[in-house]
Amino acid sequence: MKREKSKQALLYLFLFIGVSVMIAPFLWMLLSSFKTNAEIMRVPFTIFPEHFKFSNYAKVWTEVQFSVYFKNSVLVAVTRTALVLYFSALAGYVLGKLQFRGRNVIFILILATMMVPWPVTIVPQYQLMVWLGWKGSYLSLIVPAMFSSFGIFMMRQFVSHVPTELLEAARIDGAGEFRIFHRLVLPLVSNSLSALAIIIFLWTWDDFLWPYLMIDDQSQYLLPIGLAFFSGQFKTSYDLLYTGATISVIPVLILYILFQKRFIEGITMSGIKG
Amino acid sequence: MRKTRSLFVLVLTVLLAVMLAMSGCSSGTNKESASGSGDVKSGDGKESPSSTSTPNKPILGASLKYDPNQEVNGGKQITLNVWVADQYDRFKSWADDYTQIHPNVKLELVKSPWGDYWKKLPLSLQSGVGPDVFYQHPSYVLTMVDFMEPMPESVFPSNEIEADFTNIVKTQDGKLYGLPLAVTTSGIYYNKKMWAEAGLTETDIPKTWDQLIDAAKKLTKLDKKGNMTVMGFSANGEYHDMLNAMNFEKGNFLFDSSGTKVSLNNDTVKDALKFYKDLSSVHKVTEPRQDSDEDEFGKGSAAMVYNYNWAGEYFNSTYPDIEWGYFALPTFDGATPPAYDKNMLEFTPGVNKVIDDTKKAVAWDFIKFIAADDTQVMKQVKEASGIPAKKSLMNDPFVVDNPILKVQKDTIPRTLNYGFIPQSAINKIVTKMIEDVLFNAVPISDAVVTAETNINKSFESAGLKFKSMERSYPFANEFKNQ
Amino acid sequence: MASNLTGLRKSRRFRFGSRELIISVTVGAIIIHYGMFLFFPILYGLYGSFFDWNITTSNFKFVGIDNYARKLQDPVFWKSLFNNVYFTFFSVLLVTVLSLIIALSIHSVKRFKTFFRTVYFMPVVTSLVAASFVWKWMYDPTMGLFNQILDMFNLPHVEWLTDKHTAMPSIILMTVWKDAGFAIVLYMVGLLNIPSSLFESAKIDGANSRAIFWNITLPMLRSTTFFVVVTNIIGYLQVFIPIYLMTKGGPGTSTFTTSFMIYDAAFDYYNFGEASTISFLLFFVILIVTFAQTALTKRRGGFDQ
Repeated sequence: MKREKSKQALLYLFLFIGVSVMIAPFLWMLLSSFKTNAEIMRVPFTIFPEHFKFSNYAKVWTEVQFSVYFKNSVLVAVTRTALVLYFSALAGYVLGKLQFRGRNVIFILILATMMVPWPVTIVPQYQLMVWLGWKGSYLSLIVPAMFSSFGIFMMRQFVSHVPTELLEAARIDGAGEFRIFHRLVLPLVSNSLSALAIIIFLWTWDDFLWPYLMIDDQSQYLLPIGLAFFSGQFKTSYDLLYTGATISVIPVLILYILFQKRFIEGITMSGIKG
Repeated sequence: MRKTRSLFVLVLTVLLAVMLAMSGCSSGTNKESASGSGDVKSGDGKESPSSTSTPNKPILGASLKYDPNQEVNGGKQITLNVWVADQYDRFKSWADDYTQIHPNVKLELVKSPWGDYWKKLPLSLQSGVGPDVFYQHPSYVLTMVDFMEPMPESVFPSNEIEADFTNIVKTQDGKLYGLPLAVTTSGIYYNKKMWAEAGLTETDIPKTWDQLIDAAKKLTKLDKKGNMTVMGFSANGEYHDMLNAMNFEKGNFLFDSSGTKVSLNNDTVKDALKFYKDLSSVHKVTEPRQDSDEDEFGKGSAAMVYNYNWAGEYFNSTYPDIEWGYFALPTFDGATPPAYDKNMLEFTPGVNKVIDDTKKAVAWDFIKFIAADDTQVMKQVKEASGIPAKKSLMNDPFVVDNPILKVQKDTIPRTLNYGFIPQSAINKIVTKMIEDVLFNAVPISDAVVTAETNINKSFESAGLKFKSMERSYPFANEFKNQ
Repeated sequence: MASNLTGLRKSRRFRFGSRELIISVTVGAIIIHYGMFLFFPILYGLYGSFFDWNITTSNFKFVGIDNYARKLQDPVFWKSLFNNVYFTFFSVLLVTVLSLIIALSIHSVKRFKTFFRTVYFMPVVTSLVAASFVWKWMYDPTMGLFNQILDMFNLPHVEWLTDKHTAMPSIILMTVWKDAGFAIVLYMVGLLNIPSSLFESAKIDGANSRAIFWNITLPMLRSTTFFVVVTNIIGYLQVFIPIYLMTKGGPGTSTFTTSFMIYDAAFDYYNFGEASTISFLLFFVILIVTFAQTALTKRRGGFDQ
């Protein structure tokens, strides 16, 4: 019993050391965002700011236009997530519940594309966007990402768990396939959809290289590009840089802490059922 | 279950609303500026002298003249999209002065950091969605020349330009893409406070590289654990330029006699590379880092740095507490070398080839205004702390009193211009070569071969057409490799 | 399934109904979308890899297998592959081992389970761009957190990102911090799914905890481990963002990875032909790794245990 107790104590010690390592960068970033530039550059360092300087936030939010980047990021991430969810569910239903020739070929091809690394397509896709005239527009960020192989794969798994009898019953009642999909299937897989939503949203929120190459107009920047440009431009204003980083990290972190159960569910579903 | 369903419906509704809002806005911002001039092409300010009302504003310029009383774009509203890198303040001031004369013109400035600017600009121009007018730099002219409009002879007659400007550079096919406004080169900045603390005086200003090493040894500081807290000398981030300077000082051209292929695999380059390596490995006066020496200097972790003229203004604005001095690049024997270094030109902005003629006319008018008005040229001269490339400004008080230009009065005639070469590609590969030697223990003799092959291969695969102007330098006969 | 099939026959015999419509719309959209945004770019990139293709000079000249021959002889390319393998091997190893240890610990403690899971997962939902910047500043030689901590213990400074020996390990460290939480959660789920009767009968048989770990826990987590290892290997072989934001491949070529090389060729030299060539070489490597893993998975029983 005593041995068990000391073992528990050791485990707690280990885990709490881990916790401090995990949290340290967040705290460092958050605390630095309230310091003056001089204080950040001072050696030896201070942990807590001498005076909390909130004006960094006002400056980054308005002068550096993080409010605009933030709005743009939300807009693109939400739109893209919505489209991916809808098309993944639709493709999942068609490929998982309806029988037709070539179905397996298509599904295998979709699976195979998950193995294609991004560097293979980025150069020709860049050229394609130029030809289509989509460069500089959000179309280039949203349309090529409308179908996600990962999303289709995941939704097909979930839709195939929907009892076929339910669908048959609806068909006997005379419901068309679109009606069945929208009114019956979509609500039944809504839990899985929200899990997928979280993953796709995170991916989009963090997408850097493609938006960086595609978007030219400063008023259309997304948060990650804004942050990268910003740190090139203000490379010596560490106070503002930390503030900018905090602004792009904290909202998602808060969302995560609020909805963490669903987050974890989504992540584990994507992993284990794979 | 029910709860999640209603949540889902709610989310979907929100998404739909956002999508609707988006469809109106995704293509918006970018095109807005272009639609400013949606009217029929009309007399472009220059060709047709539209009803000259009483000339109340004085005409600007000596030979190349600008008449502020002449209307632009027939007085109709027009917006030009202007991209700048770090030069926002200067462009803003140019734009403000110009739009005060021509209130019907709107100049919309978009700025990005230096490195990103040169990545995005050529790609945007190439894809046809680039800006109308943009900051340009001679190092990058070749990568953008296919998308740029050459300066029209009708607006900028050769005889007028040659009468007013020095250092005019044309492309190989004789086209002009920008007028030079200021000339800059390299030198050494030193921290005056550290200089005094180390017991050094004005008489210790190094004339030779060996003297510089001696001074650097006195300026280098280590803490008790042996960490270098102050580097006596640093060229971090600039070592490709410094290597090039040492190469010229030794009378060695960068290009072979064809002018289209670089030559790095020779003893002079190898010696220069070894000299640079020894600064850290033998003399221990510097520490090679992936940093920029101007920031090391500003933060007080370097006492002397190699850099170009612009750094002086950068210190004044970013690190106002630093008191700096400046001296000319040392040489190997203390005598005047064949050339100290290359020189760099600051240009008038470039114009996008694909914009319509109405916009082009306004763009050239704006550029003519900048070039003809000495006040506007001085803004560039001051920003870059460069020698003016306009003859009328040579004796301007700023030029006479500037601590950098005072020194450069003697050295700038001994600097060399390549013309338009793929400078950025060369810089990148030479930097990689030096880093391979400094960080990766690659033998110097291997590094120069690799770099030479890679640079020449990159010219070939890009299909670039250019020729280095090195050999038309006035003192070219003093060089070893003709 | 059977009733599904009869339904299909019934409707197809008579009309082009909603079933045919939904299939043709969806399949049509998939074919157009994948054709346009995936298969076309792949083929076009393959085509372009046989050309001197520069988009700023509009140069497009056939050079045969020149690009491939040159890249295969280029020591920097091999160095970049080595860096890929170096980064991938140690990141995967550390992520897997550390997350297993942490998941086991969280599984064994009695309280704060949710708290621990929440905290360890936090870096996963953090933007990689922001994380790269913050870590880069923490690695700063003079004002960074790490060297200041070393100062407190009177230890000599480490040049983290600017020393060729420590640059890659520094990026690996950041990656482990960022990604461990994901694997921890997967392992925690895996641990919950092990029937407790297995442990009980083992205890009755007198097995000590070490034996239980090696003979029960680890084998039962095999599918989770495979998933973690496989997905991470494929992802890490394409690592780009932390390299781009923290070291730009330097110092020298010590963090120059293949993805970064592709980016560098395409968007710094505008040499699209060479960039395409390198990406197909990388694709080839990833295919080999994937096939090797599939073969291994099949032999060992795979995900389904």
